[in-house]
Amino acid sequence: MKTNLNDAINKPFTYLSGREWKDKRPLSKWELRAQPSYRLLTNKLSLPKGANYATEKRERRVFAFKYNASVISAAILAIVIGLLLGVVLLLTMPDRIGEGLSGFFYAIFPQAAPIPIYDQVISYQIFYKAGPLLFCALSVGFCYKCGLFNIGGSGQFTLGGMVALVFAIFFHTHWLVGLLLGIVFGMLVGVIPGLLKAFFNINEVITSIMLNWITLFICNVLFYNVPGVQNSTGEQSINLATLSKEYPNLMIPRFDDSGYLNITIVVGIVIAIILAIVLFKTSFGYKLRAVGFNRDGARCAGISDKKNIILSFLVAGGLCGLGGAFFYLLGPDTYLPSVSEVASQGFDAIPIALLANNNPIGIIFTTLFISMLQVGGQGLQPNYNKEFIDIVIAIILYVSGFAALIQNVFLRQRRIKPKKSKALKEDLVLPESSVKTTPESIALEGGKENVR
Amino acid sequence: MSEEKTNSMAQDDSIAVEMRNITKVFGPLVANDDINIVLKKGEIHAILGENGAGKSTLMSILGGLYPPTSGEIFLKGSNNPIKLKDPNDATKHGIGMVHQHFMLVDIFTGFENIILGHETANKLGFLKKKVAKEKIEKLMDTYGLHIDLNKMTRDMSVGMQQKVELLKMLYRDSEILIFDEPTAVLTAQEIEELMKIIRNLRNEGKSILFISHKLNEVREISDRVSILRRGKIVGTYETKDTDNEFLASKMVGKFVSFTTEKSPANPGNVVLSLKDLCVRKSDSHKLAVDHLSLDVREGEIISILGVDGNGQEELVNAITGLGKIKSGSAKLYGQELSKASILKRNKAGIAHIPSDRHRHGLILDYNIMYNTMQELVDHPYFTKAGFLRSKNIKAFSDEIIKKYDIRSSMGPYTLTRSMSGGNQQKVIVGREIERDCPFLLAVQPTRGLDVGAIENIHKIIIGERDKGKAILLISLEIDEVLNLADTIYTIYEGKITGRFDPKKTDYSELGLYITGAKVQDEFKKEGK
Repeated sequence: MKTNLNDAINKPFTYLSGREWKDKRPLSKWELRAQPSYRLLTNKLSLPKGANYATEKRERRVFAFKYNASVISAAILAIVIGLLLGVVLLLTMPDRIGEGLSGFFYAIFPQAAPIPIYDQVISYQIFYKAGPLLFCALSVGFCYKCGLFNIGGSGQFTLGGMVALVFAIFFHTHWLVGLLLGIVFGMLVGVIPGLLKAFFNINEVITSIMLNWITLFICNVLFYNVPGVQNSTGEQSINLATLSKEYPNLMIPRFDDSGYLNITIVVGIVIAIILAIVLFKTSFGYKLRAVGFNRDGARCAGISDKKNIILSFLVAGGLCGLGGAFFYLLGPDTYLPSVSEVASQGFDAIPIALLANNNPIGIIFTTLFISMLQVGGQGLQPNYNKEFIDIVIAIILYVSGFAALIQNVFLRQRRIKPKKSKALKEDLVLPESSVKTTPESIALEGGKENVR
Repeated sequence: MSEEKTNSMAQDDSIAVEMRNITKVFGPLVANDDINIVLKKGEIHAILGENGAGKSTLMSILGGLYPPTSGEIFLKGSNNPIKLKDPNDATKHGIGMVHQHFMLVDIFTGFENIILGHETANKLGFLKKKVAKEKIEKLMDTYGLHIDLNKMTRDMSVGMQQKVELLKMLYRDSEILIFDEPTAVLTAQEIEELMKIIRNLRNEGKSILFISHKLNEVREISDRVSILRRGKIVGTYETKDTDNEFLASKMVGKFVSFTTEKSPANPGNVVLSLKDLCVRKSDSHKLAVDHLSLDVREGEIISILGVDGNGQEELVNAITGLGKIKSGSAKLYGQELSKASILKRNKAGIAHIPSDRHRHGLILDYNIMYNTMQELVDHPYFTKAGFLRSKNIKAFSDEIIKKYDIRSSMGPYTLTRSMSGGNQQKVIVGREIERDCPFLLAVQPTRGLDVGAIENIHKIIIGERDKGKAILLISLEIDEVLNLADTIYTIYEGKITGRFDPKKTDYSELGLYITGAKVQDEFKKEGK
């Protein structure tokens, strides 16, 4: 055995040998020293022989498919259960249910109605509502990937939107500038809990939720104290729609006259795709998720936890601010100062992100779905209270909280006939002589094989 | 009460529990394959096996954590199989499990942890603490298990916590006690104490299943031993008929040598140099590392041996950058480390095998692939223009998986969370060694590994030394240190108490120095 070991050690390795390695030692700069490391990398790697890649790949695919299928089907099941419960709720007034449901349907698909109010196949309102909401949901989902919970979306949304609006009213800025301002001010609000979390480890839930009201009142102060923001009655801000007759670049480009169909949702979808790529395909996303999964472990690996926490809050704040800017620069909505109500988008976004398992691509669909429900809910109105649809949406979101549970049911191990895995069989059958030589110095032997 | 239970249900008094044809399948992995085990009443039955042999799975089935895929469990020789839906069921049947990772509430006192889930309350819902306390005190006296009941669990040492866990089981009148690798986290003295307690328990009529991969322990304590290998029972033997070589060969299926051969060291230039290093304890102003000076040269293994909690953790943190250095200097190739970030130190050539693999070593929700490249994410081989190069990442992890014999269900795509502890450790060791840094800081590199894997890792470490790496080994196990080190330093309360040549020292001598009973003259002066 001794000979075996020495033999292996003296064998020239494919990577740097001890001698070569010593030669590089006098390098003194940090970066230079980093170069001789990673000996495996200094060679072109060939896939090791013997590994059964075909089965591995297949197994992985099957697993990935099963997993994704379980995630999606769990979400769908949660939605179906929610809808069924909603229908049960509507049945409390059986004489109105027919009208109510058809109202719900026609609100979503106006063209299908007997007397169409709008000439729209699908109500544009859905996209109008979904746009800003999508940004907030992406913000929440992104933060969640870094293990952080951004409940400050409303504040970031409000300040970003307000600043964009004020600039538009006073300086008649181009809408692109408005969006940029929204991002910057959203980031400013967003980074505060990020900094507090990173440097003082203060729980971001508390610092971000309380910030919602602080920013709300800052916006109210802006509203009341900057003359010219209010409209003639003084109850809400000046509507951009009227201003934009003079300055055509004030508002977000739109595809129809009402402004309900505009670029917001398109930009949102593009950003969602970009975020998905960033999260899953880049080293930044890798580090960010690593910090989210295990802050200590990531730190130990030289990944800066502080940097990533701050960055994720910056991105999240920017997204919400952008959503706010889009919302107020669209035209239909104006800023309404209130003392008790912060923008609902920041909170609505949380369950939307959760329903999509915080996956940016999933968030696109859940956002559209929820805003579809909201629009449909308006169609229920003459027959049912507005609260009804709120309850139905709430139930769906509530049941979606069980999505993880439902998912586990799907993934649960079924009683499978014990199947002997290949590796197990081989190992037990190996004759003594071959066992002796192979596993003893797997490392060294493994190195040998790589040479060839 | 427990006696009544026994009498009413007993059909065959000599058998405590029998597991028949137990099979457990996780996806493509067969963790347990048709296993039969009989635990007699009043015996200590050891289950011996490599990492990933299926010991813990088998015991988790008995403890009610998992349902078996097939197979049945019979209590006390009865013919009606019992169904264990959850750990509470197991407790009801008198089966208690002391887990490897304790299931205690940190901020509860020992007493609260013991009664947790089995609180007796009066009509108004107030706890009947007195009754419970009396019962616990009685138990403590009977079995010689003394703990401070009013101390918070997080302030207790690991050994104490284990006693709390054990008392918890005894408080629930468990007749069958399962110890899942109980010694893995204990110091030598604590192990000795635990052995005494386990013997006491047996003498009082409890039946004990003792899971371990440490041969000496098994031979010392058990009456019978069952050996598991890759999910199958190899055999059950009377312990007194066996010896270490026999057990080891049955366990790993090949002959295992216990000392790793190595050539004499050939030290070169100083790589890491610590001078008067002082590090503060995290929770107080006391010094955890007290004016420690040490040089590690190329091509040698320096080992720091000590009982856990004598400043090793702080020392490691100071070197790796996880903690701050209070005063003194730590230099790598003459460059001061104290101000450098962890990333910089990693790049400068510090590889670190952390002792806590779950907290520091791995990101459990990433697969093996992503775990093997943790420190190297920014290396151009793995990242190009900010994008991960998944082909290269996979190739790198494939190499490591093959080289270090990492067993998993889905190769590089396996989530590390789903792997056994030993294989997780191999991922870390492989990664750190393959980064090929000039300096390797190995903190208990073989913690929780089986004989075969330990031997393998020892060989690899020695191989690295012979290639000119500087290695600082921090270990709690005298065996490991004697086997690997070229020079041993003993540490006690943050100070070095002696320097030894492993060939010229032995257990008893080192024992004196790590407990602070003796200090070599050279270090006495330095300390003051």
